[in-house]
Amino acid sequence: MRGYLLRRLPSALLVLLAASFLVFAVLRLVPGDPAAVLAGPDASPETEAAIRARLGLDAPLPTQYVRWLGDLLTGDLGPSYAIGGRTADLIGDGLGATVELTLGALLFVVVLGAAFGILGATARNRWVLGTVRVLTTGALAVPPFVTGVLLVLLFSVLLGVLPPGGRVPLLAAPDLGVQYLLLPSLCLALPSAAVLGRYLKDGIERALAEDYVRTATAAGITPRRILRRHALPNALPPVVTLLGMQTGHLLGGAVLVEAIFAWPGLGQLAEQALVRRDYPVVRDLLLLLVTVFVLVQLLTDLVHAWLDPRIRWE
Amino acid sequence: MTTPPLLEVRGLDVEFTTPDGGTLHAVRDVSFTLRRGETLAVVGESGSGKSTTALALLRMLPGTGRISGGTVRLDGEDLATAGEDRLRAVRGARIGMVFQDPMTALNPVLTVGRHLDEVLRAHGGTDKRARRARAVELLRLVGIPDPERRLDDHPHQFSGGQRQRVLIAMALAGEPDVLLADEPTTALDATVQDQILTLLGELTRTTGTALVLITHNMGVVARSCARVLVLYGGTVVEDGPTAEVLTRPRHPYTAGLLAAVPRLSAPSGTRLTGIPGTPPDLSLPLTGCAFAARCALAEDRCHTAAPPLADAGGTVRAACFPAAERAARAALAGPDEDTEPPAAPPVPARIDRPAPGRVVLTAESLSKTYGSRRRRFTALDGVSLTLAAGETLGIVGESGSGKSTLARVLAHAHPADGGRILLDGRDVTRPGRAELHAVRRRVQMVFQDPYASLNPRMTVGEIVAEPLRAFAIGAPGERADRVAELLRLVGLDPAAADRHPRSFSGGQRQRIGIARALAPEPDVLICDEPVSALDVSVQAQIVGLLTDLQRDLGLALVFIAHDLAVVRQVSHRIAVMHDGRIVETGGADELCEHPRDPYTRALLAAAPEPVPVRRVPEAVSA
Ligand SMILES: Nc1ncnc2c1ncn2[C@@H]1O[C@H](COP(=O)(O)OP(=O)(O)OP(=O)(O)O)[C@@H](O)[C@H]1O
Ligand code: SF4
Ligand SMILES: [Mg+2]
Repeated sequence: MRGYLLRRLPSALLVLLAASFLVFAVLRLVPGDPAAVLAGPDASPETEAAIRARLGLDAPLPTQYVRWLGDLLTGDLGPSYAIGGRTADLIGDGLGATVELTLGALLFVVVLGAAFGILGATARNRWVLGTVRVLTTGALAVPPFVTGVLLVLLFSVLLGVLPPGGRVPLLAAPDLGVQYLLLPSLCLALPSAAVLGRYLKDGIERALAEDYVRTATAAGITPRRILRRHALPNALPPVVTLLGMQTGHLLGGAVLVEAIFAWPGLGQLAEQALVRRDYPVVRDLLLLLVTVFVLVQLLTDLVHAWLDPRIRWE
Repeated sequence: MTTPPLLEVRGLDVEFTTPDGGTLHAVRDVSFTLRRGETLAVVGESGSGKSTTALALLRMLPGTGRISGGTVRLDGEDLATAGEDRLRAVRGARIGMVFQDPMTALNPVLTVGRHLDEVLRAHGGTDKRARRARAVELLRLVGIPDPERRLDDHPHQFSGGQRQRVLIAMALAGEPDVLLADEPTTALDATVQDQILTLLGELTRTTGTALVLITHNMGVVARSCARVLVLYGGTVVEDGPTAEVLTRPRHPYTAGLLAAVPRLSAPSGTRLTGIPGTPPDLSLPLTGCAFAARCALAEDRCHTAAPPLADAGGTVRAACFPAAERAARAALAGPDEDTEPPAAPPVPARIDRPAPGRVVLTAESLSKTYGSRRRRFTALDGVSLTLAAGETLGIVGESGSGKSTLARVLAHAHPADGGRILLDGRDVTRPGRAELHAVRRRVQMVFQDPYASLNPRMTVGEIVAEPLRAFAIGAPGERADRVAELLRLVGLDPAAADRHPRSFSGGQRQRIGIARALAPEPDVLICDEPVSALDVSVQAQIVGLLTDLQRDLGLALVFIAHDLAVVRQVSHRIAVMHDGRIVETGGADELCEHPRDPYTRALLAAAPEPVPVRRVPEAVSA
């Protein structure tokens, strides 16, 4: 397992380096001089030059790139241009909120997806099967902003049991934090849970039709045990890969859901930074996103290899 | 004979619902008994209901399958009506089952130890350590070396034969009284098959487990079982002691089946006798004898009434009117008067074939490796051979020995890495485009799997005409006539041209494949396991067709197979392949009777023989 990790690590680092270069290049190539934007339309060329010097934008591009990489390694990302405050703090706060939302959603995805998948594949009762089918189809077909509004209508307006928006950090006040987290994470999770459920259902059904299940049945092993020990371990590896990809979707979806539920995460920060052309914040956010994707991918592959011995031996 | 039977099956009927809503009556009125420690073979051709019968005993019928009649009594308890809980207590603990394909019958993500552990758990093993110790014991019992260590290995780390041993260990874990083995060796090489059969024999002797061995291989029957049950069209046609049934078959079908089996001891050039026609369509109602449509002895009554399974002399029972009457007459005449020959199989005939002519194809030290830098696999390693017009060169070897690679290299489907190929003395190893076209036209291939090698969307006419188009042979308007001619040549009705391959049986599809290969009038036909997917009675027809075509067209044939007996009968010369090399070449009879290479000897020793062959009359022409 360790060997597998060591073999995968160099390519992951390489991807990150390439991404940093791309992010840097793309943002410096878009028209609009950050110094000019910051200085405002009426500023004198001298003010602009001073700002440029203070931000280090007058150095040659390669120097700027290397300096940025150095900043990244030390974690000191410098001040934000437009929003105010230090970039690292801004991103840190947003990241905490978004990670909380995404993890909450991930939990829903796993629990609901597993329930949909296992029930869909093994239930014999027509009503159970019908309900699962309707739920998964609905979760896939209805876009998050509609589910979001429906959830708020039901739980906040009609029942009045959950707050309609905002956030209380979970670690600061767990009981209150959970109440704020439930609706946005459920809203974010539903489509992915449906996709996962369908995938898992197909996987289990396929595994149950395999010869080794027949072998196990003939050996007198109970259907429950066959599901747990034979079908699930076989159905899981591709589902884990899918879960990894869905985590990416969740991060993307978070931007939208954060807007619906006024959740102060990276999505909100990105929106602000884009509107106000806060170039360093956008740049660092983009790289952060890529890093998260690469990490999730790596983790997915590791879990996959752990679940499926054939990969480890390749 | 007084011990009550362990398993008693009476009038078992199994039906499936076909996609169009009809009923397929797969098993019809099957009855047999099994005593403790007995070994019973169930034999019959593809679709005769062997697997379905076995699965019905465990109530594990696939899909729409259901038991529609009869009883399955295990020590008196009827399993056909037992509840799920009772069945689970029977599965594995009273009746164990081993399935055909060891490659798919084990779960790839679980270790072998886990497989065994799960079974032991299901049968009341509560202590984890004890289960592990028992698993080691079981692996040792089935002959897996170093069992403690192998317990933590996954199935893909075992060879095919070892996986089959693991499956047997799983089936034995619950210490069942009956072991059902459904074609346990069909996917294995002959030498491995031999080991597995030996193992099964030892296990049943030492543990007293009764064995039901399902197979289509008469040699396996003769080698492993005391009694045999012959199935045809879902019914039992004959049931008796193996020695009796195989030497003096009472039922015409059994006789035909035996005659169709190639004998290793039969010399090169012996013609195999097939059974004309095809098995009955089980989705149609059946009145009368299931075999009537193909039976040479059929009488009028055979078409209107079903013959019951009745005494046919000795302890043999057969479902055939004349056979039962013969037995009754013999019984009246006294025990020593049973001189009337039962349904006699035709005497094997020699093929009359001309001597081979000049050499057409020569290969000189061909080599070929597959794979990347990390994992290299040498498929061909210095292979040399010659092939003359009108000659059949048989190539035998176990799986992975490089037979198919050799076929593809000879047919220019794959390039060789080294060595030379000469066609009529001209070097065609690395032909230019135009030359490659010409070479491919002269060297054609016939493949193993008649199902996979025909495009299901094309009509048979289009399939056979394809090479005509590709090689621009004849005017487009004349091609239909040529296709009709080719179909007639391979024994098919020219009207078949308009139909799609799926409406043909395996043997018919192989005929289509041969017609396609013959279309460009090749000089060399390379047949890669052309009969391995076919039943013996059909195999005999296809082998006969190939030899007739060779005689009439002067074809040079390369005949690749893993069954040494077929190869001996069709080939003039045989080359034995092992690990990418030809270890021995020689005249077919010479090589089989006086093998020089130890590997050839091992192959010959492993081939199971059904019964001693009768003397074959000498061929009239040389
Ligand atoms: N799942 C199924 N659904 C419908 N029909 C089936 C099914 N399984 C088997 N049959 C039919 O039952 C009949 C008997 O099949 P079975 O598999 O028992 O034959 P077999 O003797 O084991 O043949 P083989 O040697 O090819 O394994 C065949 O006509 C087959 O088409
Ligand atoms: S009953 Fe008639 S058709 Fe059937 S096998 Fe006997 S002779 Fe042939
Ligand atoms: Mg079968």
